[in-house]
Amino acid sequence: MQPLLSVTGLTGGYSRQRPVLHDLTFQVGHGEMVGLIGLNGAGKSTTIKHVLGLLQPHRGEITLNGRTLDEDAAAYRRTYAYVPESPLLYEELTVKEHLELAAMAYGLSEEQFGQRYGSLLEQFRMEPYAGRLAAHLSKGMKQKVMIMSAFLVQPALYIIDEPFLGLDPLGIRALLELMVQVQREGAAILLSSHILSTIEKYGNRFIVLHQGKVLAEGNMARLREIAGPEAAAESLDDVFFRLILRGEQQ
Amino acid sequence: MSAERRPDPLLRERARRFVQEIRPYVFYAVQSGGMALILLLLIGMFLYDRLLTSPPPGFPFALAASLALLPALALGSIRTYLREADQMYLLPMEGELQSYLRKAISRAYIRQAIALAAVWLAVWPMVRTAHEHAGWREFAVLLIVLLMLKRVQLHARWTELSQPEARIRRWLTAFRWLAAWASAFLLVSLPLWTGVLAAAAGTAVYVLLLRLVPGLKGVPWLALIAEERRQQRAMFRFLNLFVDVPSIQGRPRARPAPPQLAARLGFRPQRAYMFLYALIWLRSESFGITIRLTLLGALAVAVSGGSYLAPLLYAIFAVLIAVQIKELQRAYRDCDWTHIYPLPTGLREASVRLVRFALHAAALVLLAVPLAWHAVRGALWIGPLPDSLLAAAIVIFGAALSYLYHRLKRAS
Repeated sequence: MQPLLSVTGLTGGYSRQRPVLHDLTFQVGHGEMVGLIGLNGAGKSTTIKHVLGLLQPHRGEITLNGRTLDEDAAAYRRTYAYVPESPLLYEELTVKEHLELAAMAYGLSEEQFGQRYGSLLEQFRMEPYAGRLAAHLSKGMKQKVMIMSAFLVQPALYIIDEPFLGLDPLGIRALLELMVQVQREGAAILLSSHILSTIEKYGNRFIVLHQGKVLAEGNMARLREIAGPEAAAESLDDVFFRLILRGEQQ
Repeated sequence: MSAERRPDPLLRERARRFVQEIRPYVFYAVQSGGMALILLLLIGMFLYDRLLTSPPPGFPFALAASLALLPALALGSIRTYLREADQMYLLPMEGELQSYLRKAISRAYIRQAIALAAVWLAVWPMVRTAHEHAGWREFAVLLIVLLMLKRVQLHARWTELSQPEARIRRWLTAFRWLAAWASAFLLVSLPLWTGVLAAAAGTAVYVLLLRLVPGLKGVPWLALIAEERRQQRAMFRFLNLFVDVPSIQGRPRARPAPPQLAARLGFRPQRAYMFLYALIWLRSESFGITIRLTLLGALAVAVSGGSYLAPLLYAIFAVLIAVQIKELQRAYRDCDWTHIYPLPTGLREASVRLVRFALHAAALVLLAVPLAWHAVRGALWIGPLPDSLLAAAIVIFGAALSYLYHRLKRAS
């Protein structure tokens, strides 16, 4: 079966003189939750920006459902929804208006919006703030608006960058429950985070990035295998530490 | 403490850096808009001269003079150049910052006093028309009193900034503007010493009342940083009329949107950016500026007395409003969502143009109301066309020019 997201030989970054990513290749299949992990500056956010189409690959190809961005930009973009690391909101819009805007942009009908809007507000305990301007929200609430906007449109792929920063414990719980639910319904999730214990619990596969290269890839058993016999019963935290240490020695 | 971090040199250094930052933009602005400004100034001088030499019967010169003086008296910006990071690095030396702030207030006073004196010089012919016997003594005495009032105004502005409660702050601002206008009106409408005494008594009561207002004891950091951002934003917004400069986003106001706006737009992807930009306009500073300019323009057209002056003022305000609304195009133009939403390329640009045109057309209709009134009472005659036809032609021509100016186009 054709993977939903396919990144092949991607070399990229902000400058052609100094690429951040080097020959990256990985896939994300339908119904999979893939954790993108690495140290600060490893290239996680740059990888995500390339997948979103915000950066142009220097070399290599990215396809979503077998299509590149250049082939059909609107269809490519309709495949995913994005939750950025720092909330990107329109200060002049309220919480509800952000969701309405996302619904309009992704072509939801008014009925579909009505069905999903209320339950999302309830899940994230945002009903009292529905009419509040983004400029007057706390950082955690802004993050919730981003998450709700993404889950409102129910795309095939969720690209989520560091979603837990600033979220309260109930917000984190609601997000994780939603991630499990959409995954069950067949959606894929590409999740970048430093909270490895959470990723380990929910992720099917992991891509360990280091200095712009894929250091290791696979499920927990495969990562332990790559990390060596000492890592046989270790958590993702410890396995990650071993892999990075070895990567730096090499 | 190093020399760079001592309060007074720090203020000078920051002021110098700000001037350095805007200097290239000012240069380009003068190049691109200088001629238009000079033309506007010449038109203004011509109209002013006409008003003074052949005023409409019963023209309220004292009221007009007091209103002309009002912005120079009441607009009291205090540039402190404080910024967010200062809460971290300058907060520990708050005690030593008093001289920095005193210096900032002094600088503000000197600049605003010069501006007030210039406005007074321009307004003086109106005051002389109201008081036939007014001479140099009156000019000098009233100028001194106005400069003292300016100092009181800055003190009142500081009291406002020290007020943490936004609602009370708004009341204080309204009260300050009212006090400024009342003082100016008393000074220019009453005989010299009666006016001075009345203004002094009123100001003394005002200052006493201000002392009763509780406020922050220390430096009002948040208010000063917000005020500084507002000042910089205003400067960049002005320069933006002439040259492309980086804009600073203002804090939006929670104005209610028309109910069910998204539903009224049919929840269609093609209208997503229209929805967005209508709301951005409604909640940003652009809304207030558009409304003020439209009302001021309608008022100016109404009191112009008709003739060629009414269409001229109509045209001037139509242009000013169009130029101001154009700023909407810059809002969020580099936002990532434009590249992430599955919407056609160019839809944002096309939608903003449509919103701009709709807003401008609405403003043109409002401006046309007093023009139509002049036409109905037959005061618009300036050529062979009947008044009603002439008014209609002006409005249609204005709308056509507006359409061309906003260059409506389809998204690819």
